Amino acid sequence: MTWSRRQFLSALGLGSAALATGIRPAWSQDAGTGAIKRLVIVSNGHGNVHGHWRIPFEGRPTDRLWDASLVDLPEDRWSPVLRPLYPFRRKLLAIDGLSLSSAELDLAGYRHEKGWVHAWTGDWGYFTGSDLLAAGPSLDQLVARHVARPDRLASLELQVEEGRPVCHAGQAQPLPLEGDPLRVYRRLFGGTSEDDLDPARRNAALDFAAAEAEALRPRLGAEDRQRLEAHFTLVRELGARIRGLAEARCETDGDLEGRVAGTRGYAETYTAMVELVRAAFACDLTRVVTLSLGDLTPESLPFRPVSGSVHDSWAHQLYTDPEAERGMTAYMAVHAQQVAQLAAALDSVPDPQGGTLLDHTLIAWGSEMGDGWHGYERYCVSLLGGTWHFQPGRYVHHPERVSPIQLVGPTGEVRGGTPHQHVLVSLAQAMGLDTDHVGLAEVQARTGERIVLRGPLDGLTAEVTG
Amino acid sequence: MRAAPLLPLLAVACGRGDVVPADVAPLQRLTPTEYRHTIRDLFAVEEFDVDPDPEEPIVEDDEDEPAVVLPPDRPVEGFEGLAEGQTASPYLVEQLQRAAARHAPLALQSPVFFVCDDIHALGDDDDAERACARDSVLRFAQRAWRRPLTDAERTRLLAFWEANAAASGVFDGIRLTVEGLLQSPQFLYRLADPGAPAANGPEGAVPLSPFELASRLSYFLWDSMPDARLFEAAAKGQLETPAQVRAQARRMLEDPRARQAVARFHHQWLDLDRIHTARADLGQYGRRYAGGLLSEVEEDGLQEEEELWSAFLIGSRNAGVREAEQFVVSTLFDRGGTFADLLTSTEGYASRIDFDLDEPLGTDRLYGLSEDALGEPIEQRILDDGNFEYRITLHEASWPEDERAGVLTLPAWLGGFSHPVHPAPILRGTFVLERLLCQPIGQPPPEAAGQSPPDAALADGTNRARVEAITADAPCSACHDRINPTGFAFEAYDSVGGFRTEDNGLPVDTRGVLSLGQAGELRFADAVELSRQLATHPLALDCYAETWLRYALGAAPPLDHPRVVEIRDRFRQDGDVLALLEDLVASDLFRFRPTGGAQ
Repeated sequence: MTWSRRQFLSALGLGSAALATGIRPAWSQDAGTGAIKRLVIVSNGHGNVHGHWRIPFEGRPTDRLWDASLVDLPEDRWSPVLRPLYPFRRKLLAIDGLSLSSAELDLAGYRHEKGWVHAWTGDWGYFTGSDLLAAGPSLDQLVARHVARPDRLASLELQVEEGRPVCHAGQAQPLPLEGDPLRVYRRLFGGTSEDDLDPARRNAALDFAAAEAEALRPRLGAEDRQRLEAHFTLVRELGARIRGLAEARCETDGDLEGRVAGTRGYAETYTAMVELVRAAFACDLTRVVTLSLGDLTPESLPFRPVSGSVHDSWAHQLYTDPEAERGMTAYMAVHAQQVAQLAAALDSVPDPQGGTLLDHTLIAWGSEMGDGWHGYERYCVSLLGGTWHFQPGRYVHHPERVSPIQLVGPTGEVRGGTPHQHVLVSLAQAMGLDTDHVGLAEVQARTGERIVLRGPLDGLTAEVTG
Repeated sequence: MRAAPLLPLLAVACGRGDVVPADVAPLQRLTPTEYRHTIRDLFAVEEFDVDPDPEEPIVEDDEDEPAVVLPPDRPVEGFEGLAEGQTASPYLVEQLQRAAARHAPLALQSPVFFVCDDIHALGDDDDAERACARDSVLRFAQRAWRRPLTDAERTRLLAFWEANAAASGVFDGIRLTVEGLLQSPQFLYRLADPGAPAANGPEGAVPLSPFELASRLSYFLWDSMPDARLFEAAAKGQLETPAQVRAQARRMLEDPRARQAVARFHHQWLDLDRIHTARADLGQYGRRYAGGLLSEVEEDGLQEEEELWSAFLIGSRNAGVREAEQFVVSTLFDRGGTFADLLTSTEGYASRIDFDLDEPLGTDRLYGLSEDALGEPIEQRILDDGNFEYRITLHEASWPEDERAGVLTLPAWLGGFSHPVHPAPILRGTFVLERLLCQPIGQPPPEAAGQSPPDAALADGTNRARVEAITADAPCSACHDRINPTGFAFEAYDSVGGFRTEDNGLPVDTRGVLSLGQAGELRFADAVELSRQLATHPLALDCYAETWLRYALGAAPPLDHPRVVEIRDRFRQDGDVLALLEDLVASDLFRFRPTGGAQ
């Protein structure tokens, strides 16, 4: 007799009640050895508003690396965009002075597209002649390969509204994003009529299909063989996952399915996704999640937007229209609030390793561009958690405008900041990857100068000295 | 996503006398659309709704059993089904597994599954029951794989079936076996037929086996698997000559499935999905199109106004897409049937949309029609997005001839290529150049970053004037000299697709001249004139034919290949679209494949 992952006590309630009752995820017995680490990537559209994201610290230089404590900084001194993250100040690393400068060197593709490829792969775009894909895998996939259990979902790629395609399995292999919480629920917890057969029998069907692919092999040309092999390798991996997921034991709220079904509007959908991520982590059904956040809709904003679209009326006018600047600032604060909501949800569930789920999770919040003007400079990155690797509770400033890579800015060409690839390396290393580069290892500026993109970003794992 | 150029991507060297170009043989997977239709036809279970449109705001009837939706192919220049856009992902194989598990039990209800009359009547005779089940599985496999099984395949399948039946009994055994078949490569991919003799075709090419050709025909013309007659023709060797293939195609084009497939092609060609994410501005358009509806809202009821306006947009965009597809289908199948008709006809449709509210709305207002100008209702659909129930009634309607002409004046297209406040001449112009004339525009230069004007109500001047102002100088003008005049032709259509004569209180100016280099220039007063000129322009005819060709073959053939030239030349003569499809399937390009490649 197999039983569904849904047939459990209600324990994943909202807020601190869950902490009080405590859940007993059974995976602690079968999770294997080694501490479990989880990664959530949150990527929004239109960059950020650097001027209202950054926290001003008086007297600090722009051309040097320095840090400042966020722990003791009074809430009223926090910037409007970052203020929603104040409750998590002890876990926060706000990183200033970066740029997506390699995207500026990429020739093909629109700036949005180049940005979302470079932001999370650190690699060149791969232009097919009609679309810009990525030349290499995105960070979430690299990490998933490293931390995933073969008997669970390696990663979840989620979107709210129309998220940017930020997940890539490899060269020219964009991954689909799922935006319907109920479908995500089904992936995680099953529960439809097709789940009533036991996994061994179900796997027999997969094995048959995979064996047919194998039998066809000799007759195929090299390219076709490769395509079928890619497909049926995934089929074989699915077999392990089906068995594993059927055996997964954990407690989840019996109402979760009801709560995530039929959600409407941005906020409800986002909330449902957060609940699903929390449940998936609590049950160790996956360890890597990407949340690609599409444009906020008028009804999801806490104020009346100007007429017209976010993209054209606000994002583009960031530097020319004070109303647009105010609008985009409030807009980014909504995204910060969403990150805080995610962190709070993960903090509400105890982790069998000790502490809460959040204590064993790293949240990386970034975007596709530096700003809504389509700029690649002043790329704002906020990391939350990952305390096993980073030393958080700080604002870390990297020297601005030091790179030989010239970026297009609203006032003409400017030098870029520190290439963001270094923060991708930091994230990869935090998740246990033994690598010194993610995506590009070095690039050549138009001046001919070589820029090395290897190595983690300075100042994240220990306080900046001197 | 942006419209992308339709490019002859690779100038592949054609060897002397090549029957088919070497690179036109990609391994194609069934698209999500083809998959749904194939399931429908494979099981012949009519009442099973396998065709939910994920874009439509339809709440599942049964909350416990939502349809399994396969992740879409990545569109290549707007189209699914091109090998290049078909990367496998963990999520895809999961959904294929889920779909197989969902659909496998249909075998037990299907009127075409069992080879015996009533398997349940054989309950007392285990051997007869098993024999019927086994033979049914074999016949099903042949239909699912769309060809006879090889001996080795038959042996493997029977072993699988026996193991399942032994472990789970006859009926669960059938279910599991079908579940395996629905995940097999022979079902999901369109593979070369291993049973075909290795015939030596003319230089570098072999003819498709009759079964491969049957599949190619049916997925092209029906978005689905072959029917019994097509299988029969394949089995009897009646798909050998171009004339035989033409005859089948002619028969198939008379089937309703062809209308659906042709509609789907044009849906993708016109990028009609864009309309589903467009959001015309309430402040700018609310009073004009939904004034009565909004006047019921009390003061400060902004939230409610937004909701009602959203409901209007959802209703009208769904109606608009249906009108567009119906227009294409009726124009091509029931009326003139030419490319020119597609671009110039005013014999179209309009819809009335009833909410659970006092005032019905409709797209008739977008077309400038009064309610009594609508013809008889020909179809009623009911949508439910959880907020409202929409009863959408489709009527025949003659559009005003000086305001509308064919597909480029459809609200569903115009509305998709719009910003919330202003129509988007740059998007519209680029689309026409790339999709209608196959003139790739390419990327804007980096300096164009953030240069597009705010989409907000204008203090003075027109949308055209402000777009002109920011694109007038180099380097913008290099491309905008062509993009702008093309796009400005459509300035008489607002962001919802309604006709307008004024913009911001000033008369709209839709005049333009489009230079096509050696192909001369087009001079037009408005979109109606532009459409009429495109309708007979050789570049537009060629482009349309090439788009169909690529769609049919799953990859772009070299455009200078003699067979491609033949098809284009033939189409230039009369622009008859269904004749183009017949020419296409009768061509060597369609009936042969390069040696060593897949179907």
